[in-house]
Amino acid sequence: MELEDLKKLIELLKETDITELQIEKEGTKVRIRREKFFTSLEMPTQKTAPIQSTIIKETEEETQRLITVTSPIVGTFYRSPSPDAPPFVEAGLRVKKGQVLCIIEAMKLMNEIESEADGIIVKALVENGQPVEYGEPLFLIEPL
Amino acid sequence: MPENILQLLKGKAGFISGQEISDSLGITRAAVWKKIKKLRNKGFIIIATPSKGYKLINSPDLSKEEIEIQVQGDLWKNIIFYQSVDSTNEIAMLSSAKNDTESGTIIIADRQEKGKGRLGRTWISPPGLNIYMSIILRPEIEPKDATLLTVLTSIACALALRGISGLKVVIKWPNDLMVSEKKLGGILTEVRSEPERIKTAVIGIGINVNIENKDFPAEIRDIATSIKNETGKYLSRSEIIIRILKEFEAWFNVFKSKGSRPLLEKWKQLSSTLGKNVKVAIGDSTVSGLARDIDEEGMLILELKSGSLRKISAGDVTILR
Repeated sequence: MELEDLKKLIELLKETDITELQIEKEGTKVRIRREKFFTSLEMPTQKTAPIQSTIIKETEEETQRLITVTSPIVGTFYRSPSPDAPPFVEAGLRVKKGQVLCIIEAMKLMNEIESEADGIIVKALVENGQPVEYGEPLFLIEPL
Repeated sequence: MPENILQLLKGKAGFISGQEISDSLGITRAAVWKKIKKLRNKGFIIIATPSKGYKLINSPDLSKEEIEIQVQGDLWKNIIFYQSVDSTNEIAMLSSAKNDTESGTIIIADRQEKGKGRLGRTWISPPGLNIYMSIILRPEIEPKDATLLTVLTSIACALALRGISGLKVVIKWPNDLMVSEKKLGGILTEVRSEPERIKTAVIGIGINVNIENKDFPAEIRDIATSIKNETGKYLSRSEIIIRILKEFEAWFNVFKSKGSRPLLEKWKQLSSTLGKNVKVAIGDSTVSGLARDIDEEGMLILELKSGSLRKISAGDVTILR
């Protein structure tokens, strides 16, 4: 096995959750092991992705910890202040208490809904432009 | 509010002496002169003769001072005037979000650079002609009742404009002020809510007052109008604002003491939508039917061809002939 092959193997491994790998080829034995914290140290930019994926596979206990933001009114749900503007929040982003999460329009009244806690947006539950009912869940937030 | 120099000037048909003003306000003659100069700088025309004193000849058509002396009530606390802003609603939302603006603050601008319509649309806002104002309130109401503020404001505006211009101003659901089936004004309410309560409400009011039809952009010339267009007369913007604020306060008190029912009844009387066949654009789709009624929150109840009823919370209404 060439050094190049070994490097490639290590790179490949970094992108996975595998912590240990053993290969035997033409009499050469290679074992690569890494500690779990290695992942988060190596890939800080991807930090939000694992959080999201773990929470989607949530247990009951985790669901209870999440805050569900519900609609206080009947109306149309908007994720951005105007059609061309970027959304107020995205899954994986941190929000502060009092930060605007979305707008719900009823009778041309634009109701900006605030986050009631500091946390991370786990999921936006409604598509832009969809009608929402009173009490309908809009976002899941993991409180910090 | 203590007596004010403008009030004294307006209270006299003829001249008022510098000494009289100085005595009434408890200030020196030099201070009186300074105040007169200040008013003149704001567009008030005041003549002064050494023997007789001061006389107010003419007031500018929009001035904070004029509105302040007329609007003194429990509801209205503070008027902030700007020559030019991006949008009065934007300023009102920003300052109220910081919690440092009193409920009952009114923001008025002579001109808006980026007048706001619904969903990022623009509101035509040239200087010197029209009304652009935003009311900041922190009422003790639930988010679901916020739509009643729009109902209340459209009633106040329609009645004020009817009274002052004689025009038959009607309300197109939910909040357009119409005359001769053209748009005279609009209301854009923005609210900040926590789950259980309203933190702050900003009610934006735009009214086409003295703008001429030819000054509207071509694409809205056939669908927009102004008081000047309809009556041929120039009106004082201050007078209209004063009237709107008085009507607003009166109806706000009705709402506080008797609830939403009288508001909804009045709204129905002033509506041009109910009883008509309408088309409602909701996002990319449209729905047609007979505008039957509004519910207790002001939502439009449409009777579809099939006979079933559908409640509409948001959308652009076109009245079909």
